[in-house]
Amino acid sequence: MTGVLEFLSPSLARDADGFHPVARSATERLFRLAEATFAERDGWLVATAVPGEDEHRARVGIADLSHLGTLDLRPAPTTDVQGDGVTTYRLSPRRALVLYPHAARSSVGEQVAEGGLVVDVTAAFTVLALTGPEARALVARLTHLHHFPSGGEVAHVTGHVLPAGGGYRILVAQEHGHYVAEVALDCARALGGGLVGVDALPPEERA
Amino acid sequence: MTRLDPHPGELIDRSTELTFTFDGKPVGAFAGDTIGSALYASGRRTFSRSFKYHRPRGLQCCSGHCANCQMTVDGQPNVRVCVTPVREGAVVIGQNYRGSLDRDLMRVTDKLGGPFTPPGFYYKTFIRPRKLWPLYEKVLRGVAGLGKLDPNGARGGRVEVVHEHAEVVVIGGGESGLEAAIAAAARGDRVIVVDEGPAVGGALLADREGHARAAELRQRADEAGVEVLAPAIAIGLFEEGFVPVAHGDTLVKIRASRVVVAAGAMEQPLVFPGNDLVGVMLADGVRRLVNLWSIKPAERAFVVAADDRGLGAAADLEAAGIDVVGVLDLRQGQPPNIEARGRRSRVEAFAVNGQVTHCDLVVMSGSPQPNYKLLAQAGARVVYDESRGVFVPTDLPPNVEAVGAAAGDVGEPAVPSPVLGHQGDKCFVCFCEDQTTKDLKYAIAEGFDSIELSKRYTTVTMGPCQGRLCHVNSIRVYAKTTGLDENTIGTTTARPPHTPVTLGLLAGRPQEPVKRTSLHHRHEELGGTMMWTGAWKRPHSYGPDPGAEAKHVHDAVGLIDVSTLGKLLLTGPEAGAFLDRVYPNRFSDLKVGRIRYGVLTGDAGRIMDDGTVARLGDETFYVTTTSTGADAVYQWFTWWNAVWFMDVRFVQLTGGVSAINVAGPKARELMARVSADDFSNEGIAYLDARHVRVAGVPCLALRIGFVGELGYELHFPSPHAEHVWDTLLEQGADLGAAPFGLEPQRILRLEKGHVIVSQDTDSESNLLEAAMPWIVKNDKEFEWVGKWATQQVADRGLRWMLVGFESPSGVVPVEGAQVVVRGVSSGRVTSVRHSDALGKVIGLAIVPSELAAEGARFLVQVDGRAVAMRVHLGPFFDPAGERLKA
Repeated sequence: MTGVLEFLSPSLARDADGFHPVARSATERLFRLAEATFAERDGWLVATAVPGEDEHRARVGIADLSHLGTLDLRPAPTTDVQGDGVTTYRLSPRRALVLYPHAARSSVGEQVAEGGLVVDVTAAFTVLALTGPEARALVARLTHLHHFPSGGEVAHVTGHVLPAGGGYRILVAQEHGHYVAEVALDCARALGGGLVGVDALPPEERA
Repeated sequence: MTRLDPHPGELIDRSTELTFTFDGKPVGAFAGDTIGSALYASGRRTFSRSFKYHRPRGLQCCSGHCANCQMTVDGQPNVRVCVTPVREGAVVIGQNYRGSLDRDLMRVTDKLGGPFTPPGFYYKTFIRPRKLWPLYEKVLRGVAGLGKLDPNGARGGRVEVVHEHAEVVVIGGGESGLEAAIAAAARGDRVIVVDEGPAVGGALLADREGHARAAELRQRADEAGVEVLAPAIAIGLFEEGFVPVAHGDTLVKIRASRVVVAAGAMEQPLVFPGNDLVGVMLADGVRRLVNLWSIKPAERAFVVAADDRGLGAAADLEAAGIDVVGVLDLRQGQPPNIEARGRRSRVEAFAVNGQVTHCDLVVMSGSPQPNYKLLAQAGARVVYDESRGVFVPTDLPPNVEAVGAAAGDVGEPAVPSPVLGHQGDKCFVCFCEDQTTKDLKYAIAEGFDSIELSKRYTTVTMGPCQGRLCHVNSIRVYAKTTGLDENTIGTTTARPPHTPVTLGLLAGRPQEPVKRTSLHHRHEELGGTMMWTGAWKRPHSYGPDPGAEAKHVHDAVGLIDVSTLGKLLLTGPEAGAFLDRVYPNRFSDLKVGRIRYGVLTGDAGRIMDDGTVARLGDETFYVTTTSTGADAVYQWFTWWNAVWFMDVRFVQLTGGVSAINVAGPKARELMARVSADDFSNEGIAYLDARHVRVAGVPCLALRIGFVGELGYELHFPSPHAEHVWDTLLEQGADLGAAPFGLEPQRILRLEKGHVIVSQDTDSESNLLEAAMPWIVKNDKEFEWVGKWATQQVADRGLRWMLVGFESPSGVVPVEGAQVVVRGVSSGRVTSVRHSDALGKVIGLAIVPSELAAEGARFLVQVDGRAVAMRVHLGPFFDPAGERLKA
C-alpha cells in the first residue's frame, strides 16, 4: 500500500509536521443537509449522529461507512482475511474486496502482504449501511439482487450488496455515491426511514 | 338508493361513509365500495361514451375487464372505476364526450356517421384532398378516443419499484390459485399470489354461497404464509419467471422459479343486436353488484346464458328481490333471433324470435373462455376445443403451469353463435373499438380474411380490454362468415401488457444516475454553471465570460477539476507489451517516471479514445482516458486480454482518484507554496510523472499541458479533493489562482490545436486523416489493434484531413457547419471558438486532403452564405511550446 501506488491511499495523507487532512465521503453534503453531527474518526469526517435517527432506525436507516478501508486483492485469497469487523467479499476466484475497520489495518496488511496484487481502493467506493427492520424492503427498491453478497445493478448503476449483521452494505463507485445515497434516502423516506449516524448502527453492523 | 339489506360476504362497511365528487357533484359511498359501485348505487347508469360512435355505455363486467367504466380519476384518465376503490375526496369525471356524459353532442356520429366510418375509414373517406389530412387528423383525434392526457402535466403521484423473488408466484387468487399457493407454501416455498380483485377469492366472491369458502381459503393461505398482492395486475409473463405486477402505485417486479397461472375464466358477452345498451351486463358483473356491494341492479331482469353462471346470476337476483322475467338457457337450444331493445340507449325489453319481454336489465353469459393470455404471451400454444367452444392452452413453457379455469376447466357451456344478418340495432363484437359484426364482414369482403389482418385493419382486440371480451367472438364471426373452423382461423398474438397500465408506472421512479466529482459541491459554491458531459456533471464556467477565464490561465494560474478523466492501473510483467498491442505507438520502452500520449483505435483503425500513459514502475502503468471513455477502454483492455491472455491486470481507479490541473505561468510558484517537492524542470520535466505531496496528500503529479501552459496534473485520493483544492486556492490567492471550467478549457486546447476525441473525430476518423501519422509506429515487431486498417488508409491515400483554420472575417460558424468546395458539401467544422488571447476566431475542421496546406482557403456555410476560412497547420498559440515547457 506504499510505493508507486501511495497516491491511491487516503490514509497515507499527512505532512512533515504530522498534520493530516481529513478525508471526506461523497455523501457528506447529504448528511450535512440532514444536520448530522460529524466527528473525526480514523482520519475521516464521519457522520456520527443525525436528528431523528431513532425514528429512522425503527424503520430503515442509512449510514455512511465509506471510511472503512477497502483493498482489492487479485487473486482472491484462499482463505478469508481474519479480524474483527473484517469482511472478505469474493467477486470471483481471481478477485476479492476486503473491507476492514481502521483498527484492523495492520493485521489485514500483514495477511494480504504475500503474493498477488493489492490495491487500496478505499477512495474508489462509497459504502452505505442499511439498518433496521425495513432494510430488506429498501434493498428490494434499489436492486433486483437477492442473493447476498452479490453485484449488479443498484439504483441503475453498478454496485454490490453485502449482508452485514441484520442489515446490508451497499458498495458503489465513489462518483456515484451521492446519487445512490439520494436514491436510497428517497426510497427510505417512503418507508418511514432516513439517515442515521454510524453510532446508531448496531455494533455488528458498524464495521 | 338501490342498496340491498346487509348480508354476509358483502365487502362494504356501512359504518364508514365516504364522499367523492363526480362531475363536480358529491357522491356518497361506503368503505369497501369501488367508485363504480358507489356511482351505480347513486343511480348512475351511463358510465362512458364509446370510442367511435359515442354510444352510452354502462357497467358490464364489474371486474376491470371491459372498458365501459373508464373515467378520469384525480386527473388520471382511463381508470376503470368498477375496480377502483373509493377514496375520500376523489375527483371523478367522465370522458370522451362533448356536452355531458348523459347528453353527448358527438352521438351524432352514431346516427349519421355510419356510412362514413367503416373499418379503415381514415384511409378512405378522409384521404382527399390530401392537403386537408392534417385538419382531418386533428378533428378525428379530437372526437375519438379515450381520456385526455395533459401534455404539459407533471408526473402524477409517487411510483415505487420493488423487486421480489419467490419460489412460486400464483397469478389469480381464486379457488384453484389459492389451493395451489397453499400446497406450495406447505412445501416451504415462498409464495406470492397476485389477484386483480379487491380481495382474493375470485369467482367465489361473486357467488352468494361462495364467500365462506373464500374466507376459509384465505385463512389457510395466511396460516401457510402465502403473501397476497391484491388488487394487483400481472402485466405480463416473461422468460425466467419474470412477472411485473401493477400493485397500486407500485410496480412489483417478481422473479419466480415457478409460475402458476390461475387467472380463471373470461366471461364472454353474446353477440346480438342491442348487446351494448346500458343495462345489458355480464352475469358475473351483476352478481358482483348484488353480492359484493349489496346493490339492487334493476327491477326486472331477463337472463340469457350459455352456462351455469347465468343461472347462478338469476338465482342471486331472485334472492335479492329482483323480478327475473325470463331465462333463456342456450344449452337447451339457440333461437335464431335474439335482440335487446332500448329507448334512449337504455334496455327496456328483450326479444326472442320476436317475442318481447319488458325488462330493465339483460344478463348475458356467453361461453366462458380460459384466461390464457398470459400463458400465450409466455409461449404456450392455444388450441380450440370444438366440443366445448373454448380455446385451451397447451404446451406450456418450462416452470409454468396452469390450474383451474385458466387451464380449460370451464365446464360444458353451450357454444353460442353470433347473430348475423339482423335488422335491428348495431350488433357489437368489440365494445372498446366500436366494431360490429357488419364491420368484420366488411373487412372480410375487402380481403382482410385472416384474424391477424383483421386485428390490424379493424382494430378489434386492440382496445383497452385487449381482446378479453372480443377475441373469441371475433373469431366466431370470422368462422361463421368464412366457413372456416376456429382452429384454422387461430388466435392473434398475445403481447404485454396484459392489462393497460400507466406509462408512469412502467417508467418507475425518475432516477437519473449522475457521476459527481469530489469537488462537485465546491464548484457549485464557487458559482460554477454545471453541465452534463456524458454521465458526469462538470462546471461549464464560473462566470459570464469563459473567454476571460481562459485568458486568466495565460496570465496567472488556473485550476480545473479533471477528476472525470478515466484512470486505469495496468500492472504485470507484460503490461508494457500489452500497451504496445492496443496502442499504435510504443510503451514498452517508456522510461519509469515518463509519460507518453496515446490514441486508441478499433480494429477498423477508427479513433476511439485518447489519453496519457505514465510508467510508474517496471511493471506498472497509469493510463488516463477521456472522461466518457473510461468504462469503454477498461472493457476494451479486458476484452483484448481475454484474446491474448497476457500477464497483466487492470484496475479501474477513475472515481477513487481525483485530479486537478494547475496551469499557467504562475503554476510552479503556486506548487512551491503547497509542496516541499521540487517542481522545477529539474525536479519534474515536461512529460515527467512524479510522486509528490501536496498539502500533505500523496499525489501523482503529471507534467502535461492540454491547455498549453506550464501545468501540473495532480492525481490523489478523492476523499482529500476538497482539501487539496481549497489549499491551492488559498495559497495561490495573491497569485491570482482561480478555477476555470470546461468551456475555457476548450478554448485553451483549441489554441494549441489539441483534439478532443468524439468532438473533432467521429466514427470514421482514423489516425492518418486526423493528422496524427507521427503516432503510428509500424516498426513494432507484432500487430497492434488497427494496424492493418490504418495501412489500408495509407495505401488508398488520404481523402480528408483534420486541420486548423482561422476565420479572417471574424465570422464564427457553428460547430458542424458544412465545408463547401465547388458547391458540394466537403467536410465540416468540428470545433470553433473566439480566442481572446489571439484576438481571432480559430477552429478545427475536416476538409478534403488537398486543402491541408498552410494558407489554403475553403468556404463554410454560415447562415446560408459561404464564408471564407484559412487553413492553419500546427498550434495557434505558443507553437514552439516554450510556455508549456517553461
